[in-house]
Amino acid sequence: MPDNETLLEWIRICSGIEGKGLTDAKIHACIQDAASAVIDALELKAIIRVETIISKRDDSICGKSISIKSANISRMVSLMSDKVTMYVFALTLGVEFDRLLKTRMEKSLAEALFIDAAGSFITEYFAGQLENFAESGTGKQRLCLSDRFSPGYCDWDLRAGQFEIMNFLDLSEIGVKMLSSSMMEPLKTITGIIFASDIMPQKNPCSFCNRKKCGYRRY
Amino acid sequence: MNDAGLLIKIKEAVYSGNLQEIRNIATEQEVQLIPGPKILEALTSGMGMAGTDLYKNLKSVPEFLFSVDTFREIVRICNLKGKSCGDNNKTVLIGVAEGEVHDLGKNIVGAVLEASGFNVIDMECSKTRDMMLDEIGNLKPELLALSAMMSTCIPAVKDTVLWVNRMYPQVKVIVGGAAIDPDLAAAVGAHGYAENANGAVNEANRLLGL
Repeated sequence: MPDNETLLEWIRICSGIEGKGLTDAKIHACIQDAASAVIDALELKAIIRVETIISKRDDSICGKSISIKSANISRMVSLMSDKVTMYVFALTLGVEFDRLLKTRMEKSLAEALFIDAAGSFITEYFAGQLENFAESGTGKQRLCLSDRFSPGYCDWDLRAGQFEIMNFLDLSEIGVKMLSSSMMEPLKTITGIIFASDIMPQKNPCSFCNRKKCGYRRY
Repeated sequence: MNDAGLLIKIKEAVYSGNLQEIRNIATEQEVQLIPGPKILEALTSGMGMAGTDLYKNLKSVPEFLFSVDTFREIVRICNLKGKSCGDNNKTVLIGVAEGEVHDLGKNIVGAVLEASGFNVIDMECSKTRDMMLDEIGNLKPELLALSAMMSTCIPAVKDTVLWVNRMYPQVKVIVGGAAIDPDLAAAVGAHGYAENANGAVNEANRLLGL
């Protein structure tokens, strides 16, 4: 788990009170309560599967059972060595979080905002832990890892990406279902991919892209 | 305490987001004797001050939401929901795009619109386009507010707005949410766009000529 102070600080930042109200005891107590409630509600589950990339094209990369249709990600992977593996993952905080958020929304929108912020941070935190897991999975080879990408990133279509991952991973194993709108339930669920290779000149495709003001740009 | 004093206390409690204070005030017998519209006027005034502070960056979003929570609490205790809110008696139907599951933002916007004097009817999640059209036909709102967090819901937003414009041209539509910007709002045929809850109030006022 992230340490308490980091979690509280993140809730403050995410909910828009960075630098404001920090000394307000009521707000601090409310944030602390939200953090504790979210931790109590956690039913964290994750699934990760490794696939070897068997073909690289200009507009897509393919494993045996999954393909990623993105020209920019393909371009990034084309710079890697011949042997590239891909970690495909899904992670969820579980349905209890959704119930907690719904209950708090009826009681207090401020509390719900803190709960939502805590859930987002914890989801990202554990997705980061999956990156560490993937790194340890490269064993003695000490392969380089790319950044983590989720469907919808750059030119990887959200709907197509979610369907690819859903077909590749058995999301029901972790209690995740995808709706016809390609949104997932429970609410705090994240899917994504990470590439591993011994040669990795670029960890993300942002340097190929001219959209300098893109909110998702990584440097 | 006389009515004027109580109304000032109500206004201040809402402005400062003091939930406990509003609960104490609401249990006082004198409050039960004050006409609902008078209480709502004080509440709306307190919310207006909180909204101004938010706009001027003097209050953070959570501080503003404490004001909203306080407003909702006294409305609940004094059973004021749906009562006349002074000179603004416009109905807003609010919902999320078909297929959307994120509704925190929608709920915040709904609460703020209500606190600003609108009669807000929440469609909750999981409403199809046709269900929304039926709701408009039955409830006859002046405004439809629709949100989408994820880009996969944009086609549903566009489709819904298209049919609302065709079937109920008198109904104004505002859209918002993380997946939408002003250009996209115009492209889907919406009359207005709101980036946040305060913006939604301003946009609703503008579109309804308030």
